[in-house]
Amino acid sequence: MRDASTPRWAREVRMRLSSLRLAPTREAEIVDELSQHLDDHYRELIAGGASAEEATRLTLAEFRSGNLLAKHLAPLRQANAPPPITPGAPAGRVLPDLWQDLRYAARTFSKQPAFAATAVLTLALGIGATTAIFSVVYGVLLKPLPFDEPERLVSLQQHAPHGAGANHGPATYLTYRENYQAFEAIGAWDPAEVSITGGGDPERVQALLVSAATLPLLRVQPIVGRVFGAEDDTPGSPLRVILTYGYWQRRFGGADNVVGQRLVIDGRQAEVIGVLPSSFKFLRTRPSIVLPLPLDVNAPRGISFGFQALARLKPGVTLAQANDDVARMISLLPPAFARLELRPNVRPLAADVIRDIGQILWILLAAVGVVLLIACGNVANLFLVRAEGRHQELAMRAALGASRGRIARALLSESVVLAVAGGALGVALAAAAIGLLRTIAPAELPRVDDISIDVTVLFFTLAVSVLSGALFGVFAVLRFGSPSIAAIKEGGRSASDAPARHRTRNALVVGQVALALTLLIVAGLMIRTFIAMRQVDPGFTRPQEVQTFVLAIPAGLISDPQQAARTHESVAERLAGVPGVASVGLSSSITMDGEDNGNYIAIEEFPEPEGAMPRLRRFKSFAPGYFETMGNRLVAGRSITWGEIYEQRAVIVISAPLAREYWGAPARALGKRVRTGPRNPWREIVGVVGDERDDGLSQPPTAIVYWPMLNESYRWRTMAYAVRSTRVGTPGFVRELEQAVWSVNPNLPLAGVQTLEEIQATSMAQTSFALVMLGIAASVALLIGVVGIYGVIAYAATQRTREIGVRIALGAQIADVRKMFLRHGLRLTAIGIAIGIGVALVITRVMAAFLFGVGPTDPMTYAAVSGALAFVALLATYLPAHRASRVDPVVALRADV
Amino acid sequence: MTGIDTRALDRELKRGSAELLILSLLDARPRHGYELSKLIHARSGGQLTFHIDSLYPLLYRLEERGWIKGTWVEKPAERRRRFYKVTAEGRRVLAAQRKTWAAFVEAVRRVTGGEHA
Repeated sequence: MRDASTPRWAREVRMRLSSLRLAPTREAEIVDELSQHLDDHYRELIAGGASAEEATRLTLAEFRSGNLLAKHLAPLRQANAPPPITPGAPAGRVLPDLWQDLRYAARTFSKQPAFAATAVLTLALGIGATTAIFSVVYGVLLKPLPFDEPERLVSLQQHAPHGAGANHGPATYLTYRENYQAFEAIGAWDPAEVSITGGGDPERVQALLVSAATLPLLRVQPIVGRVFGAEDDTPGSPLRVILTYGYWQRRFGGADNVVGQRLVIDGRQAEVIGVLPSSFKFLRTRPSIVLPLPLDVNAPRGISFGFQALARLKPGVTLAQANDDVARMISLLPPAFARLELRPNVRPLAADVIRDIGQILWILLAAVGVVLLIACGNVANLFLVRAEGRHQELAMRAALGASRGRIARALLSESVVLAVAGGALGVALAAAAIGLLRTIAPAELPRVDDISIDVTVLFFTLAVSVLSGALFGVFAVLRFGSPSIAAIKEGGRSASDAPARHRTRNALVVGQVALALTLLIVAGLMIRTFIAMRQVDPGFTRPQEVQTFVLAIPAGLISDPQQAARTHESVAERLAGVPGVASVGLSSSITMDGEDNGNYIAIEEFPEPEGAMPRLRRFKSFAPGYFETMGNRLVAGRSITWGEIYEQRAVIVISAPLAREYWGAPARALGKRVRTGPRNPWREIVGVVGDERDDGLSQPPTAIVYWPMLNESYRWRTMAYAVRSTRVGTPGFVRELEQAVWSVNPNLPLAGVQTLEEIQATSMAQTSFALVMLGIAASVALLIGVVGIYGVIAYAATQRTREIGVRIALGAQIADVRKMFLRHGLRLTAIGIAIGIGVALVITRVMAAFLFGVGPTDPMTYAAVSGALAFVALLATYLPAHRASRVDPVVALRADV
Repeated sequence: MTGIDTRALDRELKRGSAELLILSLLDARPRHGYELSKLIHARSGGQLTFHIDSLYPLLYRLEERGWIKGTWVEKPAERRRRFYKVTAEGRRVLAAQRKTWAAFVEAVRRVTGGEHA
């Protein structure tokens, strides 16, 4: 103890420390230590006989002038402590305060790792899923096309109410090219498949045919050589070819001297003139080579359509103006076009890439958004529980002068810190999910390579994280944002369980159940759709036993059509001789392979009224063995023979839907005659083949006209082969088929080698993809939702431990206690299910297009899913209810004294 | 009372010989700040004086470097005092500094007293 006569040194020391940024506790220590030192000195001086005044003067002389103490201390770390954080202190400058709040929040969580980990993980699931799907939506739907000024690129199409004329033929294209005003340039393009022979195995590759204007208007620069000029796409000019980067690497090893080298393409010599950069990607095509699309300006411009056109808008021209320009040019078309009633359909080029995949992706994004909402609900609940425990602290802050806004910001900072941490983890989860997604994405999901986590996606994730944090934080703010001073006295815990305390949490759980149910119903409907599709008769049997591939016989290789047909027959015979092969068939396209050749037929018995447009029918050419190999049956009449093909007999086979449409029953179609145009001969229907779901399992059977392989309008040189064998899928089988083909002609490449089962899977890919994704989303939603119910009931149970103790002590039965909690949980679940059904009834309407064999309001799905959810919720309620009922009254009451 | 110019001593503080003094004194046993200042004054025969505004910043610097460690010791009816002791790291530094100092002194001796060697 200091005696009263000792001067108070502390003030002297503190004054000299005031210029430093010492932490308050450290400053107190230094003041203590130095005061002690001065004290010792002073006492010694007094003991040596100095007067009190002199001793004080000499003691203080220890401090020399110029405040050397502060000067010597200033370089030390302890003299530069960060400013103290005073929770709930009145707001000064916003940004530093915010930083302070965030740091305080981060520090708080590091002391509550279990709480923080649960919240962060839950959020990471939700944010990760949202990020993954958003990266798909962004990469596929939103990212601009990889061309210069892509917003000015448009697809030139027409609305064609009668089916023909949506795309282009020489008449429309050349008329536009000669008359456009709204465009800078227009170009034509068409995907194709060509055979490349000479040097190694013959190969079938994807080609992109373009008019000379197309690449320049896309502003694509070759990395080697040049692109096509006007001299390359005039009919009769020598064939020239541009290689894509990948094909240049693969076929020429990236050789510099590739320009001037030659390829044999469909039997014609072609000179390489350039190589495109590796960044070249054109819509949905994946070409190996680019060839000219020659158009004869002087050829007659009849009604014919077979390629696509695109254009670059002049700067400042709108889509509406472009459409007006096209409308004007449609009126310039030859008079025969009038009955097609074409209307302009100029749209952004990007729309050609996206097509119908867009809607399903937005639905998926909405689904994962719902998962995120449910996750937010759970974290909001966790947060409320935690905030309740801090009620006293918050009240203290308010009592010390923290404004409502300041407390709200402190709470929100905490939730945002959690959410951003969840977001960071979510990005990692999303990166993994995208890898998985790429492997299960359907083939028709375009631009899969463009899906990645880039700056835009990260920005989205950050925004979603902050929003989520604000969302679940706001519940705590609403509940505890203006704490009452009385809470300080409460001692931080509630004496009893007031119903109001649980209202917010109950509402959150109800919302979670409702959202989870909605997602489960959506997933349930997709499952029903999938099952219904699997039960449809596709028009073939045991697809796993059918190997298919495409074989082209280019005119350059065998020019005589008869000879080409005989080559196909020889190949079919050789294939039939491969061990284990049951049968072989040929058709211009295999069921569901996506080929769509449409044309009109006139029917002798039902002449079209003058000026009316007949309906477009699918045309296929075939050869004997096709229906048998596919496992489809002839429902009336017979198939054709090779003899009829070579003799070009006027016979034809149609599919059952077409026969039913005109004659009611397939058998009545036999002997009736059809033709393609007034100048073509009539052909007799000799057979009717069973229903084929050529447009996919979810579509009605397609009306198909099967022509014998050689016919006057269609000299089919490219045929798809179907080979039925139990050996399909065994190693070496495809190689044996190849050898059989090459034993006939070694220059015939096999393309599109896949089993019928794979073709079917591809046609169902979009449904499977939606099913898998929605299934995952619904499962996660269910999991998080159930954890939410469990959490709320379990928390309510622990909060009411004392009350339960009292009840049991007063004679309540254990069963009654259990029932009380079960009732609570089931009431929440029931309300949630009721709301969820209501929401689902509304939102499943947008899904109608994806459903098959089940309505969007299918009662069975709704009932089954609701029942399953109720059951799981009951389990989640039962566990804590059971535990609550086992409370020992003595322990419960003692614990609360 | 001051035998050496205090400005010069301040420069020495920066150079490190003051550190050597403190570490050497604390090597024997833990001491508090006032005791250290008295010892230095007494043992140097009044030639060296540490003022409070040099001594404590030096102690805190050594503590921040981890060479010494201060502990509060409370005794009944007395104000608490902070005692410092040398850490293991401090001992290593002290050994190194002693060696350097000895070499320096030896070098100076050879130069200045070379004629008598």
